[in-house]
Amino acid sequence: MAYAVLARRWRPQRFQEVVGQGHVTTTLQNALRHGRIAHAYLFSGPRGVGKTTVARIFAKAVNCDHGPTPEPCGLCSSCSEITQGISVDVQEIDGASHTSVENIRDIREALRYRPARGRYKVYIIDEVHMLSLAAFNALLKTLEEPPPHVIFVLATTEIQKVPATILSRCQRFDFRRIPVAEIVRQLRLICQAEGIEIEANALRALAKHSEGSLRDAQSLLDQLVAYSGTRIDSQALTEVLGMLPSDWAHRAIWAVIEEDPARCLEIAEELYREGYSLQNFYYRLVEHLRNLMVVKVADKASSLVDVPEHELEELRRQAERVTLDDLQLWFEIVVSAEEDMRRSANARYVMEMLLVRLATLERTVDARELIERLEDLAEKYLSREPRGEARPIESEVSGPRAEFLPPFQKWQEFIGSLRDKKPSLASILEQGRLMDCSSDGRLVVALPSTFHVESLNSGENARYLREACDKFFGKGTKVVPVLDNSNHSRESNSAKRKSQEVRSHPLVQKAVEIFKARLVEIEEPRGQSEEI
Amino acid sequence: MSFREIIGHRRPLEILRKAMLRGRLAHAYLFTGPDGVGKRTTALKFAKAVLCGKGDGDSCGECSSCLKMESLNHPDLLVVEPRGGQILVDQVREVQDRLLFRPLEGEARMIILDSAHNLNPQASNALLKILEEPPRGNIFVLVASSESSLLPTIVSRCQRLYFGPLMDHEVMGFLVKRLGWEEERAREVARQARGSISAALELGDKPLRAWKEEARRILEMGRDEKSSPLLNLASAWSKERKETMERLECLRMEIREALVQEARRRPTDSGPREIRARRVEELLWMWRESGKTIQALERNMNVQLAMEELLIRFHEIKSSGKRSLYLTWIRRS
Repeated sequence: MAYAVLARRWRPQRFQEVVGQGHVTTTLQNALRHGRIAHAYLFSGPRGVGKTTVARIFAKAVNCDHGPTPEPCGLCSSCSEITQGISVDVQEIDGASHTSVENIRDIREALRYRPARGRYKVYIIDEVHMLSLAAFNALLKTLEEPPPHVIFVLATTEIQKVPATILSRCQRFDFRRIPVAEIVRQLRLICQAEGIEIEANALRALAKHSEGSLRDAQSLLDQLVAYSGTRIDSQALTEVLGMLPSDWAHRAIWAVIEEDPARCLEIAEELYREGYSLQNFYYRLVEHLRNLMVVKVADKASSLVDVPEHELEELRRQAERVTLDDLQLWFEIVVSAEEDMRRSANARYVMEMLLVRLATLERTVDARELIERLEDLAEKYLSREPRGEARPIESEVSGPRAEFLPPFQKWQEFIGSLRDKKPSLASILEQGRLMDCSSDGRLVVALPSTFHVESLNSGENARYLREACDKFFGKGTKVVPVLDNSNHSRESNSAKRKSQEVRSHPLVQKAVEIFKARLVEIEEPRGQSEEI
Repeated sequence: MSFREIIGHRRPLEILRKAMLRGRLAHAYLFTGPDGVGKRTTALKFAKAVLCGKGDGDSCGECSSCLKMESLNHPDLLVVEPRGGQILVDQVREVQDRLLFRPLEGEARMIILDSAHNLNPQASNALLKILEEPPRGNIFVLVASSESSLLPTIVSRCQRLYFGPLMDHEVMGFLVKRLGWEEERAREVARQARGSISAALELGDKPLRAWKEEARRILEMGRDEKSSPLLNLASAWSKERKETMERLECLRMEIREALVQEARRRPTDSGPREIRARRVEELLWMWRESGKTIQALERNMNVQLAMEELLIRFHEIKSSGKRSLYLTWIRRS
């Protein structure tokens, strides 16, 4: 029963032992060294990074029998009293339980008396953000000009709740989250001292899981030791912390990538059966998608993705299989389910639906890529048709329409085969151009005039053409003559007609006769002038 | 009843048992998980086992300590429960005062804070110091619905244990063995109870089968049917808020069931991919919309209005030929 958790036993007693807050301890130590001790300090920062600890060490340092000293000795009676929490000169006040203005008045009363034995009376007010507004205000005057033997140390996790008037009266120190590497180092130290063997991977995962809080890391370690004794492996980590091995997220995303909703369901089922917290899994999934995104857009930046090498490989392989657009969409969908995930009594089903949704989502197609492909196609078609004479499409067509190629290629041969028996038909077709050959066997031919169209449609020609077609291309093919109404051919038609008219005009003929001339060029009339 | 008779929760129970055996109990535990899976029960049995003098990882059920625990009369057991929906700072101060004294009987005292997510802000903060460094022998057990409903500073001070939903067969086993239900009935209720025993008990006398059939009808309603039968349903359903929500949960179960079937099917069995994709999308949409309606009902929206809106939207989806709902989906989220 008499077991003290690691976090309590390993609470640092000297500045030197404090992990990851060098910027704070160095400053404080220098202040102590030069005798420039302020009368009010405010420590802020996230949970479990050392605020209360540093406050206590500081209290020891100023009151140490050998001090004020940059490093308390920890041995003298003053130091040991403070460590045990029985010193009369160092008062640690729980700000959250003593919130009222009455409590502050009590403190002010007590300030008048000199310290019993040390040099300073130190008031550590922890969780100071919970003081009532009246209490804060009652503190203002004292905090600004306390008696020379008094030092205040305020500590809080929620600095935004502390009034500005308090802030401006204190020296403020912001404690940082502790980097993973330093947590690992500290835990390793603890493990060595406690005779605990722990796998390097497990240690790292544990440190990461504690989100920069050493106390969290220590209580996790405690839990592990309580569970599996002094030998700890990754297996124990997953068992105890319900911490998911990262390959779950990998597996889930593979199932999504392969559009396999059934496997998604199996994964959700398995998670559920194993008793893992699906909320935890959800956050793993979000993190995984984020990592995937990072790898996708900046493969070089592996420092942004905090995973072991083999997982990075896996991430890269997955990233190759998804488009960025899809990833963004997935991320959006997954994140939008957070509320549901946290509130719902059946997180399992929410997770199932989420994964199925991702797996059945239609993949986005990159619009730019599509446009490029279209442009490619268009270019091929356009460049294939020399403007002017309506000529059949040459054989250089390639690419996506490959399956329709034979008719295009054979069109010329077909006309050639007609030339012997039906030269008139062949010459008509030669003047047209093949517009389209659809898969149902229709060969659409554009012809320059209605005359051409009609002659192809006329009884005998039509019949002959049909037979020839069947013979040449196979049953079911059919030539469909249409009028070529593209601007170009219409223009050239009307120009031809005009030149014909001009040539046959009696005046023109007369002129040619008189001058013994040759008609070289016909010019369009300008304005209202007589045409030549 | 002793520690080892608790249903399910292999992982957290194992952790607690080993900690007891090794004498490495932490001073603060946090049990989280959905309602009605046995968190409070576990906390009490855990307390019983710790307070029992034998110290073999479980309670003996015979010593005076165990007998007092049976009647919840143990002087070294403190149970704090919300008063009027909240745990107040005064209650926390009472705990603080009690902790000034050593445990009365043995060496340990158990403090159970039930529904710790109902600690109000003052009370939460007042708890911080004592939770971090309680006097020797005091062990806190906080029982809460989720970690995110507590201050991170509180969570950080505790060893966290997650109590997930029970498996359906575990719930069923409980109903049959402990309460003597018929097996068929127990199976049906357990399927609907989402791994929560309290939910199962609440569902006990509800006409689940009829609800299920109705849910199926809604799902199968054809595309060209008029929406009026749906509206009739809406008014028939909306007699009572709680019941409506349960029926909606029942409907969601059916939606999920249909989806699972659809998902398990290989694309070739159910025709072209597009048809399947469309069907899946439709179901997912219904799933989501019904979920939102439940949330709206939780927030006190008018029951009939909520139901009408939902059913009309169902009908719209079914009758619309829209290829993809995805844009709407994103916009609404």
